[in-house]
Amino acid sequence: MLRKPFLLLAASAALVIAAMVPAAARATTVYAATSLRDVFPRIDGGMTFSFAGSNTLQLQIERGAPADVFASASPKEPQALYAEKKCGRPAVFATNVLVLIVPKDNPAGITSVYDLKQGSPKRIAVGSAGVPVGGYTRQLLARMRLGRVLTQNIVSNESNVGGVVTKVALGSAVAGFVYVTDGKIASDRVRTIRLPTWAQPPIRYEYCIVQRTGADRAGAQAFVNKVRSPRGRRLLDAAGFGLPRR
Amino acid sequence: MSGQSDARLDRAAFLRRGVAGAIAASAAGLSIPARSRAGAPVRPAGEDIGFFQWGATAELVSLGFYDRALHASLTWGARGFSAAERTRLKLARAADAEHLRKLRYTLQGDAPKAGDFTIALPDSAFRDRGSILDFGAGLAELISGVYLDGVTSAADPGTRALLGRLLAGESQQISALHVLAGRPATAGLLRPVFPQQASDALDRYIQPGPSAPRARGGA
Repeated sequence: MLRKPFLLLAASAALVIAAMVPAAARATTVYAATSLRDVFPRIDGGMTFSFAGSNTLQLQIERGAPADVFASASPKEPQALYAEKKCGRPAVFATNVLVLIVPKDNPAGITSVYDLKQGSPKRIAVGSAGVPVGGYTRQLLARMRLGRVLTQNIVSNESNVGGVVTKVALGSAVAGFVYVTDGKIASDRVRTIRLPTWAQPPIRYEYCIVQRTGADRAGAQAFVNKVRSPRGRRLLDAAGFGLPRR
Repeated sequence: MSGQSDARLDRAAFLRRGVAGAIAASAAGLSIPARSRAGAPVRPAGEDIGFFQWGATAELVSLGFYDRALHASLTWGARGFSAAERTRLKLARAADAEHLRKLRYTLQGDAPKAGDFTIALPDSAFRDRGSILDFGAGLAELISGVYLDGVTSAADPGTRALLGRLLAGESQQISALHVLAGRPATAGLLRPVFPQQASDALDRYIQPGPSAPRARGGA
């Protein structure tokens, strides 16, 4: 009987306490695309990170999630938040390219993307259409007139690029489409096969500072400055990302 | 009158007319939908977009080729191209620019942009007049081969019609380059170039743009 009022009281107390804690004492919260999971903590390990598919993070921010910075694997999501006045003007901070990955032992003997349309149906891992890596993959395959790869094989639709890497690394899929930076992170478990330059869709990462009541704007700006600093750019480059001109 | 003028045609001119006639006949045979005639952008169905994407990139490479050829030929003096020949190369370049404009109009926001990649043509293609004409003809044949594949295999009639018109333009360039090289205007029938071959060939001439990740090892 007393349970519901007690929960409400506890939640209110938590909100009051949170409001009383000075902003400087709370870690800035960074919502970032899964493909940034390795490099962002290197740039600043003092942040609270939440990594997921950029579309999922966009949705969470729209619903009031406590993000201070949003870093997306495509311009679409931050631009949508900017249009909704839920974040500041987005800016490009990195680029990437797609590659095909296969398990280290490459059981299907895949050496080219064109091998995916030969022979019997294969298990391949792909990001779902809504997540940036899935959209880019579909764009690349359409450009190469290889859209059938997604219909004549057994395709998993992963909610973020980490899911694609895991499926291939564990051997649940014989191939997957990921960013070159993910291939690098998992280089002990997967082999990377390059995809043609001409067919690559432009992959641009954008960040924006989230605009919401109680957001840690100073902390967010400090993190963004670290990402754009010479050290941040060096770390992004070392992780395999491309860098926009200053 | 026309019979007399035809009788005075030399072999090269005869072949040029033959090629132009064949192209006109094939283009006329294509059913051009009303929306294409009206100037509305073609809306490629399914994988047809791939022909335009490849074509737009290849036309950019071809423009890069003509720019470099015209620049290189200026430094050779008597061994280069005559003023009339340079004009012919400039016309070919203008035709490619028009092809690119049509392809970009179709691709809209998905068209390749400056900075997406860098054109990297081999120095050996610009060693002398002969190498320029050989490389240019080879490039035009590659592009024609992909357009020809599109004319025969694209799903959308508007796409087929536009690719047919682009094919006609490229065929004229092949003829012009052969004639400049002192060869017959036609060097055999065009053959379709299929996706993997086309992809590999085009990728040899482009490199990632300045903002792209630096190539490392196997990737």
